[in-house]
Amino acid sequence: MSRGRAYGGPFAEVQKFADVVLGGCKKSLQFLNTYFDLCVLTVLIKTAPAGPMVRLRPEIVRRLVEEVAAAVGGGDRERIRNAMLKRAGEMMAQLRRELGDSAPSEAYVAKLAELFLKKLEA
Amino acid sequence: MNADSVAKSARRFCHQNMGSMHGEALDVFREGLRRFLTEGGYAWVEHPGPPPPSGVKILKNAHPPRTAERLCEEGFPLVYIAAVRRRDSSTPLEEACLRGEAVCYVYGDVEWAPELEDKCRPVTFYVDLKEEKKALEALLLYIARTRSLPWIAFNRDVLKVVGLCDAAPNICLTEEAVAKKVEAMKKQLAPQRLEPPKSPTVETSPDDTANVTAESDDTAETTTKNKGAAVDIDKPHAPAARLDPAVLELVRRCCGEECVSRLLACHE
Repeated sequence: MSRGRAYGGPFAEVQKFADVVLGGCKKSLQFLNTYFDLCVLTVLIKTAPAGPMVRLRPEIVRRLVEEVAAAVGGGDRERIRNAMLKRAGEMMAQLRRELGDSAPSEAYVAKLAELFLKKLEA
Repeated sequence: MNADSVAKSARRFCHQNMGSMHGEALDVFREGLRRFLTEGGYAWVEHPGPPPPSGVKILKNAHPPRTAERLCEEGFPLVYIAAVRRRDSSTPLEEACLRGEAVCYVYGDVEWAPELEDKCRPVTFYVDLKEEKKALEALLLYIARTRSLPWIAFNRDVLKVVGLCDAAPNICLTEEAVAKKVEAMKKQLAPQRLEPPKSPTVETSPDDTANVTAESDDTAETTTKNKGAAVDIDKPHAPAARLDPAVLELVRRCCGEECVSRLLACHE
């Protein structure tokens, strides 16, 4: 579900796409399970900075992950949250290895968007 | 790795990276663009002033004008590109754009707006696209690479001109198409709820926090392991080795292709 955020800038559209996918991730545990990587990428895209010169913010990622886990998790909420955070961390670590420490935050968002679309297609 | 250390490590790397729209980066972009155009054999001119107002926008959404204010205050120029396909090659590039005698593809990090006129120092590179498709494609590629932009950020009409929508349809997806896709994904899952798996599910270790277990009231689903695929986000499907094909088929049916690939990656 959209959180009513106004998007702008080059990543606006992919963030709208992420809104749509996030709806699925929050709706059923089965969807989240089956498309786990896509859902984690969705969270990362959704929480990516909307403007230039803005850093990626892990605490915002955590908040959205908690929202997703609360929506579908039931008793498993904490485990789902941990799994998603862990996967998000792994993905970001891999991107850092690929892009290097000096890459701007835009490069990370661009790569996340690329992976998101690839997963969506698969 | 627990959630705290993940967050800590993500925070550390985030603090080390700054956006590429810092003033120095804009100067570097301008220098690099001059070099790229010269080495690429383009005919081009650099004009102080904003981009032509009636051009076809290369990006779907540039950053909003207010984001440029600080850079402008610091004295950095706003760089624009107008890639021009003229009907009459004798008309100067800038004039052809202004008079509407050319198709002008316009790029800028920041959307130009009249309120920036007093504060900012825009500069526009007019580039002659003689062989439209190839020249435009190379320019788009340069922009995507140097500005760290995914193709999805580019205007579909411009991507269509260079044939990128045919080559990679997912970069030209619309919001409606994504909504349809998600609906189809949901529908694909729906019947599985009525058919619990008939054989035992894939075994996983209970203490692996990377697992997401699906055990809702009306659903008996497989548990998937995320461990093996974790290191490679984009890992292609691994070949089916030693696992029972019937189990793989069951996992595929109940949990989807992604589960199979995760299971295979984990099993390796």
